[in-house]
Amino acid sequence: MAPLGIRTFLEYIRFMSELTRQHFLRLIAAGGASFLGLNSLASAQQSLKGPPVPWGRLKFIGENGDQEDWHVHPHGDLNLIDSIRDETTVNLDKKWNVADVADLNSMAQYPFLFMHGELAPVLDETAQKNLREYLLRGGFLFAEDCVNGYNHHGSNRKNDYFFRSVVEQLPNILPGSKIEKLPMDHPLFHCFYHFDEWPHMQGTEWGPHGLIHDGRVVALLSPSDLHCGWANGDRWFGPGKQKISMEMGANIYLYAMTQAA
Amino acid sequence: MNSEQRIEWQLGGWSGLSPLLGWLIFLLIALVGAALTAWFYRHTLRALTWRQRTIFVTLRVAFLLLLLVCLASPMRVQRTYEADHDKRPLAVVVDHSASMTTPDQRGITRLSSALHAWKKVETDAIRSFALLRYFRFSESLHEASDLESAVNSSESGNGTHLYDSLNQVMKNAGPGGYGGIVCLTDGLDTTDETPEILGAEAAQNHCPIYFIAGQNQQSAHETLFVREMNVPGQVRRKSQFTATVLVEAHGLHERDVPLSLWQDGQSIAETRLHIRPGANLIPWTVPINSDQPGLIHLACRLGEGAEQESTAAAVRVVAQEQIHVLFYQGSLDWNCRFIDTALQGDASFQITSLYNPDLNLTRVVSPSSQPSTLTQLPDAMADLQPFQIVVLSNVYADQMSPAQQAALAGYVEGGGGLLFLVSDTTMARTFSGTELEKMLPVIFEAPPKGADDDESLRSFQELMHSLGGSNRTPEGEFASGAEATSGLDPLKGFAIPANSTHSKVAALFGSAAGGRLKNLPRFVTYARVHGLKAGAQTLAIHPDEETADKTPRALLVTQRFGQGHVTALLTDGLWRWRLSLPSTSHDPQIFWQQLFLALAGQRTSRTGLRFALQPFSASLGKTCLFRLSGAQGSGPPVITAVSPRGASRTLESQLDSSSDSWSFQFKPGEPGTWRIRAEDERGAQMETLLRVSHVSHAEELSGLPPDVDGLRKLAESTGGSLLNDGVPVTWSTTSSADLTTLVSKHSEPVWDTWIILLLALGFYVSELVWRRQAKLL
Repeated sequence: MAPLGIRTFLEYIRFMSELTRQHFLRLIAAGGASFLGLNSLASAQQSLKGPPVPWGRLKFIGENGDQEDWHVHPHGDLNLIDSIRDETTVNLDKKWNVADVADLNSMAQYPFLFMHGELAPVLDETAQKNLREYLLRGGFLFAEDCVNGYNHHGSNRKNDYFFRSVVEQLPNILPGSKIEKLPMDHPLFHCFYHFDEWPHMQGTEWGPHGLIHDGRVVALLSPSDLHCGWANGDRWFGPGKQKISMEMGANIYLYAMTQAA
Repeated sequence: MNSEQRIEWQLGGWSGLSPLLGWLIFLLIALVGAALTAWFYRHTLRALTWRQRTIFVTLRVAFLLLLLVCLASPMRVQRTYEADHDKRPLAVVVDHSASMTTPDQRGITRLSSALHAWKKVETDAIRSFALLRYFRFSESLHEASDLESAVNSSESGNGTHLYDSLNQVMKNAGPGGYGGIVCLTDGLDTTDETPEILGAEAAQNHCPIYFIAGQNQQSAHETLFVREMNVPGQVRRKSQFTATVLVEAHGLHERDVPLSLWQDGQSIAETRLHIRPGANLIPWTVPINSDQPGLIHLACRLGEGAEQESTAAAVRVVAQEQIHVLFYQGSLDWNCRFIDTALQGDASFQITSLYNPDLNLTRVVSPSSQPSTLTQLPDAMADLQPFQIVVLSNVYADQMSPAQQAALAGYVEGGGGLLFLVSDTTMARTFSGTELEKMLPVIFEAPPKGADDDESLRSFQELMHSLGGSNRTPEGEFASGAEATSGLDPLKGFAIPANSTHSKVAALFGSAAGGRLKNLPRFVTYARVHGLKAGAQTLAIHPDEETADKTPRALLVTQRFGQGHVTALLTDGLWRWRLSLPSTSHDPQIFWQQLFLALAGQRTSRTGLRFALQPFSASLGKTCLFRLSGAQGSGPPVITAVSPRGASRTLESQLDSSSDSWSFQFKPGEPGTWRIRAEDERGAQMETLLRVSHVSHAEELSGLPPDVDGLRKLAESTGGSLLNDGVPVTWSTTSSADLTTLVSKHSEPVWDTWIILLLALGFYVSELVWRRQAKLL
């Protein structure tokens, strides 16, 4: 496959022939300046990359013994990994790793686990014990509602079965912890990108909640389906939605990585 | 070092193209672009004249050409290589004085013994240096044509002008100087010169000195004494520290002598030292537990009966010592978070966390962290002084300015502790040739080629994009495949070097309450090391990987640098080890806390009272120079010399602010064993013994044993080593063909893309204006 630059150049020749004045001005604003900035930023980012760090998706069993819900839209994770690698200095390893909630050893390989589904997760005693142990050892869990990934509940964009289930289960799994809605001045929203409001893609707008244990946010629970924003946000939710969901995803990973004890 | 510069083109993603190929591709694309432009302008909304069409095509082609120039992005790349072998010559200097050439009762001379040791390393020396030059000296220096003429000279001088001769060798070197000096000697200079000037000259000229100590059984009499007793000046309560006693003996016959350590009048440890004929230098280490705050009085007794000697020291025990740690994270990973969590478990650690400002991170520190005005790594030594330990985690060399590196070097030289965390060989290699690299106890290898991204992931992403972002079947197939290949590399455990014991490492990492580390740390990634520097101590090694010369790969290495210590942990931050252990396990906490305590303890011991410089023996009429470091308080320490008959006399000292130590001189007035005692304002005490001999050091055949320890210390202060201990790792063991190692690579654009883009836009604006005038818009 030809390098990106060559393809861009050939497409540009055809595009420029029909370019109107308005389109040209839009191009200057959106592309011309960023073209230069992107070059220097990219080379600067590269020289700051640390050793590779991993990404893990958590496998679990859903309602009625469902064994597929957990892996909805894996390309969304890959898109986020690309974005974090390009826009931050985190050297996130581009590999879609799977950790099974039934196997603590597989979970313990990843300091950050992403749990995503539409159905309420069924966590038996082993799964609960493993989750508890994982969080106590220092792991971080990002659990997010997929709303209607595989349309288990039709195409209702307000589904929140997963979110409500984890909000109910996690404090019982980790005694001494509590669920709190995170205010917008929380460091999670300002550690890299700055957010004035929580980017909500779809689902019920409960807002982001943290599972707090010993003063530390050990898990982030989201009803807002940022992940679908990563997967195809602009097409499904409108222009700009993919970018903002990626930025929030970057903040979540960076916050988990750098939050002080 | 050699450097080369060339222009490389990066055509929109292709890098490393030569200029000729770059130009060819450039022209090809330009021709294609021009042809397509002309084709597109064949049919327009309105009919154009030939002139108009030419102008439009020209403007468009100019715009496209300039855009292509921006995409081409030629870079000026400068690569700096370091030759693996030193092209400067090596000077081989042979001590041909009488003490070296006089045989002992077996007919063996010190010179023949030194020559025998030289033969073992000569081949490596020839490989590492382009040329060897030979000299011999006794009271004056002479050049020799080869080793044989240097060794077999018929003249044996009646004096040893060691320091002066080596100074002359350095001064008379050709352009570029010598790459090193190897000296075969017994180290017994018969003048009043001291080695400090020689050491400073050698360091300034980047000329390491290597000694080969010649030894035999030539001795007028037997000697036995405690050369040094090394204890920290201050320790924490309920902790364990070690007292190291160094015994020097020169015997004519084999015998055993008792050695004991006493604490506050009670014997706490005993041993018997086996003395062999000839020179003996025997260390003895005793672990000691501290209890409540106060003073611990230690005494070391050597020998028995009338010949028994004792020397004394006092260690201060403090209730709580705040250990201030500056943790600087150069690039993002999970190190800081997990290490911070481990240290927060002990309130005596005060951690100041700093992230490289270029990471653009806004980090809120925890309430328990030390508030600090620092926003980046300090570039002044004074700003580092409040910290006992500085941690550099995943830092690239070009992230640190020369001022920052110099500040760190000065900080460590002055007694600070530096912990260098790196698990990536590429990152570590960037420090080669820098100021910081001189402090590090390791030499890094060239990095291996990194793995390319998995193309199948890109294909899957594009497939999902083309399917509209959601499709259960390919997602399920992808997830199944990923699950089957999921997982990271397995954890591997630290291993202990063969020449140390498990208890030694456990003593370093064990908890103050007496617990022991049940599990040694486990890691995944590590930085590859080519070798260790002279004087480096390996605390942990890779369990199964070795270097090319079959030595185990080092993982945790420490080395003294000036008054301080630099420790390199060459693995990841051990967070996977933490995650792999039950939440009830405290082993990771123990490891990190004890490692940091050990680093702080090294600084504490250096700030404790100790004789940084003392002669191992003296003779009547010789002025002895001492240097005392670690004295606390505003005024000078009280220094007393007690004669063999018990008479005391106070000695005056002078502050040397550059080394923060107190210097004093002493000329003994009678033979025998003198006690030199020092006490500072906080009550820390240290005592050393000075044996004054009837025999004058200025006598060539005084019978004094070779000063092996003195030679080793002098060599290490210049970056060299005692070759009796082995070949230095910095001497290449491979063929000295054109081996070069890439040290650094700097790229910068040949031209300013911004200006070219502005020009391109200018052409396009012009075209738009003309198109408007031609009513094409």
